[in-house]
Amino acid sequence: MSKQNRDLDKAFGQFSSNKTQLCDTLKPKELEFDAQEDVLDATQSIDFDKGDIIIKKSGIYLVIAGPQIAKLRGARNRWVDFWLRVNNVDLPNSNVRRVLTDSQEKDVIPINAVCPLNRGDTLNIMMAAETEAEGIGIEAMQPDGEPTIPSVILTLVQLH
Amino acid sequence: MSTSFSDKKYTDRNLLTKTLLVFFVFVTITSLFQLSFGASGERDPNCHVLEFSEHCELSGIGHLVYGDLAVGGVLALLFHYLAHKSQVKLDKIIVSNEEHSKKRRDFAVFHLKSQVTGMLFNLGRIKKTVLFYNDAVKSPYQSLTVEEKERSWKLRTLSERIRFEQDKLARMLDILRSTLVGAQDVMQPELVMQTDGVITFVGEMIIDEKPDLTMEFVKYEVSKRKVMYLLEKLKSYSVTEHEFKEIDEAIEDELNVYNSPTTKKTA
Repeated sequence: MSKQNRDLDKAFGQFSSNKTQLCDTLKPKELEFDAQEDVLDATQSIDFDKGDIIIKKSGIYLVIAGPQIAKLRGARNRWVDFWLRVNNVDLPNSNVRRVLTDSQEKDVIPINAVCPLNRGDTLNIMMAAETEAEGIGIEAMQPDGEPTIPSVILTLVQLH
Repeated sequence: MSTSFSDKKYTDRNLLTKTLLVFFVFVTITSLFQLSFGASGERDPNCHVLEFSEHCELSGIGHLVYGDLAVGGVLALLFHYLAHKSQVKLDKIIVSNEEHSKKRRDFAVFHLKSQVTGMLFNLGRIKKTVLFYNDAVKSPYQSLTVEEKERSWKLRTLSERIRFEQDKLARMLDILRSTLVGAQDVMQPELVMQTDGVITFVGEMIIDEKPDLTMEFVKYEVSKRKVMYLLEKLKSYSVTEHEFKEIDEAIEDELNVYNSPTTKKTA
């Protein structure tokens, strides 16, 4: 298929991280990405630099993120929060919380939002945990004979 | 332009003309009604009710009909004249407002461009000063020597310089926001939002001090990229057409050299 035929009107992108990222501070922490699915030249419309998702086309976007949460130590109930940040400012009503008890618990919690984003805007997924001492965060795993389980998957689709 | 409309003499003369016209119309209508009701006497039965000739006097109904036609015509002309006059005035006001908006847009884009360029320059200076500061921190400590004296002088001076540049950046952002607020009614909403996003992002940028005493100007590369996107948009403005040209947002002419080594793409 020629490049011209593959050019799409709407921007989209899928990002993931194959790195385990833990809350080592009580301050909010940015989730970092290290891979982008280069489907149909998606890099032309959305790019990333570590934790910053950089929008190249202005529009209304649907954001869906799924962090694979885990806890490495401890047996007490501890919360972990995830939310979105646009241009270094927290996006209202985007926060989600999950309480983890022990290291056996693994879960994916969905974060979703629809927001207007302009060319050059940056989007971050933020994480904060109740304690920094119990290895709470997002975990990447490599099961035998299966694809890698990334620590976070983020999908962005331009709606309008 | 607007002062001529508020001129007292002009308003008084205009009011007098209108009053005279209304008075004339009122007198004409009243007279015609009087004539129509006052029309009497024997009429030739062969004359049509609306006939008006040498041997046929005009009937009362004729008076009324012809009078109505005359008054209607006069009123139509009068209202047409008044409507035309006010339309011309309105057109002048609209054209004047459009010209004014165009001038304000030109002015705003010109200033935004220079202020954003200034901000980019300032960001670069902070980044470079931080690098110089880090070099000074990393240079070996030699107590009670001339080199150490120079090192501590560098650290102090550069640290002050960084603070000065940060304050300057904050002032520039305030000016930029003021320009944006002042011109937001003549700018594209999309551009206003984009500029606001850049101001918000740059305003939240920090210089992170690390445990080894070095500093890091966090997210400089991303901020540079955002500013370049904005400049690219501002540069697409045509002063002759007073409009922004369409740019292909997927292509990065300004930033084709930008390539972060920390990122990788998977097919």
